[in-house]
Amino acid sequence: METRTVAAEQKTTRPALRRSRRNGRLRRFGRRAIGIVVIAALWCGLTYGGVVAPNYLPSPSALWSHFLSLASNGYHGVPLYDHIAASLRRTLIGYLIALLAGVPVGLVMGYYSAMSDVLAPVFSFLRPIPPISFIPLAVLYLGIGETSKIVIIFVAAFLFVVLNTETGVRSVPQDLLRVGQNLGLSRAQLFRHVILPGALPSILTGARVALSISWALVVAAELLAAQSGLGYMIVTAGNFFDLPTVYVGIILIGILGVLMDSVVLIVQRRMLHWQGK
Amino acid sequence: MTDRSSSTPASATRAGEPEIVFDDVDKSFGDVIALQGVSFTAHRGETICLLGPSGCGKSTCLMLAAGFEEPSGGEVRIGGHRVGRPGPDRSVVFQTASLLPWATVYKNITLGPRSRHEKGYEDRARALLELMGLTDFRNSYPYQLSGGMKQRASIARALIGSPEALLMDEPFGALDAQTRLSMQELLQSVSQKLRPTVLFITHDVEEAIFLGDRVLVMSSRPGRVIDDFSVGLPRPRDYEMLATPEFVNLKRRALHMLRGEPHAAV
Repeated sequence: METRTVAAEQKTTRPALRRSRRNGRLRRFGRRAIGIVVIAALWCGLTYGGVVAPNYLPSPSALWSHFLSLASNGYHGVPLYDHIAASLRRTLIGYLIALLAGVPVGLVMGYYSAMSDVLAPVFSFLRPIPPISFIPLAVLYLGIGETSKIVIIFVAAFLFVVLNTETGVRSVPQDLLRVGQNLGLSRAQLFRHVILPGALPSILTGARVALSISWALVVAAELLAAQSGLGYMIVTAGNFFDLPTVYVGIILIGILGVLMDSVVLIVQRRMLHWQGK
Repeated sequence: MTDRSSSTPASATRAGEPEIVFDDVDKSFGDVIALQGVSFTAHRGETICLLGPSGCGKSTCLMLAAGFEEPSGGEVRIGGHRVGRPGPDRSVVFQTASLLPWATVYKNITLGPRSRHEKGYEDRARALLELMGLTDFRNSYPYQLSGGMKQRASIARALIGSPEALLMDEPFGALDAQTRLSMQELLQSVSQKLRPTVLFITHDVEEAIFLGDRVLVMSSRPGRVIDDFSVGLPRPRDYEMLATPEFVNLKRRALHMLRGEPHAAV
């Protein structure tokens, strides 16, 4: 009797519930659009309203056609997608090496405190140094080729991946470790079944931060020493007072950054569906 | 009384044999003396409840039996063997269910046998899921379960290795009153069916008497066993018994001991 009334109640409220959930999602989307819309409106007002001269700030339509011409003609004889590919390649190579090296190092440091005692001071010293300040050294030691930029990205990303991985291992609850020991898990099994998945949230947070840092850094590195890449395009265009190209470069960097971040975010949501519940 | 012949490992697994033996156990953490001269014997298939106030060292007893801590003095033996490293022959059920949040109920329960590459654990897992009322939730994740269900899963995980001793550290302390009652009844029926030797830690007097074949009352700082009585009530027990004179007398006795007053002999 009682269960039947509960079920009936659920049935009547379900469409309403669905409706309110949809409304909630819409409202959230609306809120998220506010900032972008405001900026776009300002941009349109300033440019189409004639407040700012077109060569200081191109209008959206002018920028779009400039983007199309860059896309078809390239910049300084190099196709636009080559600039994009150059930046992406440097970032991803440095970043992925940093992940492959940083996660194991962080795991070892988290598990063996002796290793942490040895390495942590070195990493703590290096971490607050802005990676850009290594650029002159990298250029001197490694030349202005790809290696110097990849190494700089690697160093910066590596330090953050290590830190977050180590923190993740340390944050695995003692009860879970004890459960594993109690079940008779070997050291390797404890690692595989308890420590690694337990540290994963923190590892992925580190991976996400490190990717943003890598992307920001590649542009900075290309500003100083490169023959291609979005950073190179921006700084060269700036020198020639070619502001539309600068804007196209900046917007492309932003869009690609958001795209890469959402890839990590999707991976994170998939792998950590159990987290925070 | 206490079994000093630790050289009889094989025979110790028979019913009625001493299973968990605390032999004059001391434990201190730095300057703090947690346990002093604790001695008791739990026989095979018996449920012993360690009853005491918070901080009396009753959980320490359990950590010693599990092998997570080592005694500062004396000896803890399980199944005739001196307790070494933690192992699946002594399963612990913690106060919080401590399930791996990234693994399903089934994966959690079978982690032990899977890691030992055992064969044929599936049937046992199925039977335990059935016994614990979790059959429909075998593929659920811990975050999809209620507190009681989580704790049932963790009990199933502890039982799947057919341990000699089941060590329970206030396993129902974090549950609401309703759930706690049904869990106590469930544990009673499970231990009647599977007959493990149970060391059950609690600060709840009624829980101790309801579940225990014997109740050990502990004092705090230093933790010592100050009373040890058998609960003669027949099984299966139900909550009607809480009002019987026998139950009330045992409860009064335990409460007197906990308050540090000499109890009126009944």
